[in-house]
Amino acid sequence: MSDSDEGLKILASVESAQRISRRAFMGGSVVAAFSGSILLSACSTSTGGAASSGAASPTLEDQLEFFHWAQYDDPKLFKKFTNELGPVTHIDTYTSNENAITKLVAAQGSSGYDIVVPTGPYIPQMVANNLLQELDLSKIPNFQNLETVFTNQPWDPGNKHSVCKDWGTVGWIVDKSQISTPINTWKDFINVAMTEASGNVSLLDAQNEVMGVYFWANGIDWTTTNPADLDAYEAWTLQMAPHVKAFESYPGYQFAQLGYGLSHVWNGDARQGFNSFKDPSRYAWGLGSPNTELWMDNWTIVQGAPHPEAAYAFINFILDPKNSLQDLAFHGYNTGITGVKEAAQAAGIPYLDMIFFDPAQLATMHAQEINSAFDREVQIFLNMKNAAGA
Amino acid sequence: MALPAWVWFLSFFTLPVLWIVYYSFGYKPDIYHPIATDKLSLHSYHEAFSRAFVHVFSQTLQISIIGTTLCLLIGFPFAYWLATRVSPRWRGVLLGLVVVPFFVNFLVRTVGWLILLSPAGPVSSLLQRWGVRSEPLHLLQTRGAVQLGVVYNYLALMILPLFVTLDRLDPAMREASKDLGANRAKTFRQITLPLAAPGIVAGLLLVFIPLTGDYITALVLGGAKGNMAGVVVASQFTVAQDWALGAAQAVILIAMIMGTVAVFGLFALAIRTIVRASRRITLPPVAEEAV
Repeated sequence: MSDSDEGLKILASVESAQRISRRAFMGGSVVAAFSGSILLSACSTSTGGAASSGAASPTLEDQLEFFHWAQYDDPKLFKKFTNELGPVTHIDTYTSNENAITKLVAAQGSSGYDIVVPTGPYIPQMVANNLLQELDLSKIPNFQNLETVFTNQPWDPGNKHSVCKDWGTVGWIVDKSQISTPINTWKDFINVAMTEASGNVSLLDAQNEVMGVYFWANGIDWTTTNPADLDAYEAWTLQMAPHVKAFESYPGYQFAQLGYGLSHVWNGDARQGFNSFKDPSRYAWGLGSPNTELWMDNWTIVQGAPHPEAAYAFINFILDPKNSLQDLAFHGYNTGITGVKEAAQAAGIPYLDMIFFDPAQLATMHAQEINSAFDREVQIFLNMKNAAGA
Repeated sequence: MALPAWVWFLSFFTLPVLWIVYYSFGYKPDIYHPIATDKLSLHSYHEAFSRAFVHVFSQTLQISIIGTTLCLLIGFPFAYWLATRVSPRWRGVLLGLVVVPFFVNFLVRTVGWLILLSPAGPVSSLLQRWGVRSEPLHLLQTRGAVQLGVVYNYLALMILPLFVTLDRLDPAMREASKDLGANRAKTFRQITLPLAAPGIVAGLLLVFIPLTGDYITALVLGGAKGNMAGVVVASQFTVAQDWALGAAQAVILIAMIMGTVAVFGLFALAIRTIVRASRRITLPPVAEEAV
């Protein structure tokens, strides 16, 4: 039961809280109940000296309902928000964008949620299905704190419906004591996964990223809808499947415990792994190359939100540089706020090379788009998982 | 609450199952709608059988048949011992110990094994310390781990009905058998086993049916190798959001369970008929009734 003991420690210190995965593996009510208990038990430590909000308004509602990924923000920040501005927050969780969208579609604007946090490429269809409100950026003065690189994204020009929450990328962790072949590119990753690390590899339990591995390794644009590309990808999944030990969304903190040789991993989760390793020098983090992913999760306000003013106030609150830094220290992803890197360095937050990337690295990162190939891609991936047991 | 039981059964069992069957003939129209039923076809069944999860289905069947057999092999001696050898004072305590894990959430019980069996976990380090293994145990994320997990999770469902039947079995029966010259093996074969048959059948059904549809054990302990049909069905609903394909797979799973039960049922019936026919001895009707 040491796992649940660690869960309890997470409530106590930021250090161990870093070990929580971004989108914890157990979904649904278990996590919802868990995050609820975090909110209840998070001590009211800092009420924050500096008033961080410019948008406090007398018409603020007294509640704020989130439909959110599990364990994705520092619980203390919700407490602080309530103390400073009033609205009491409540979080329901989901485990995938598709899952969240289906529920919002089914509710037809009566879901009762105020804020939902979709990944960028899903936003255009959500807007087309009238699931999101158009934002009034004048109610989010702290929007100007975002670096311009992370505003005005292709999926939402002019930030009409969304504001960057944080962004990240994908790469791998390797246990150098097991794997001697150096891994510098996705091609190396595949070769090692099929040879030296065969049977001891984990891939992300996420079809986009698995698809990325193949397309990036072979120099194909990963937004392709060309049937020949998808056929080739499907054939590759069946070759790759027998070598895979597990499809694991958060291998980071379990990497050493489960003895993986090589894991496909999100940067924030890799960092949580390194925070937990007894001997970090035994392991290496590699950023995907020559190309890799850039995903961005975004604050959005749900169509029909019962507490829109509180939602605006929260988005403004979380874009405050100080709050943003605190959140970054918790989840380990770049929040895109101007100066957050320097602030993180000054605060001595470890493994910043897994959070912040230089312009040359950034140029190799590409966003996915949801297109006509999507359903087929999902089925190819699920079929790969079935084939892995053969 | 004067509603007859069949109303309950109809609205919470029959109708939902029929609904699933209906959905299985539908299709997924686009990314944001999981199901449409304006055109009905067998497309999803075709899809289901053309993919790698036919393999997962056969693996599931193997895991559940082996698992159910192991539960019987472990559960029967234990239940027999508990019902016939343990003093009544301790019987309640031991039975309580069998039931206690059921007070813990299924998921939590299974996650417990994750910790026990991990390469850096207690089982692995004990085996290495005792020299049984020279390297860490790599049982997690294999079919073996799932097999172990399902036996653990469903064993009590086998023990309880077996215990109840064996406990009701009058010891005088076995004594009479002995008095009439039968040895232990013969008594067991001709008295205990036939009388315990209803309990065995109940236990087999209680274990086999939920075990075949289980997905938590495989999800937590199975990794890529220990996949089960339940996981496949669940991911069509939650990941792919393709309810038509998910429903078709669920229907196939239900059919597979019913088919297996039917095959084994007929097999058992045939054996019973043969045994009865070959053993038929002419006795006065009174003796016949006693058996």
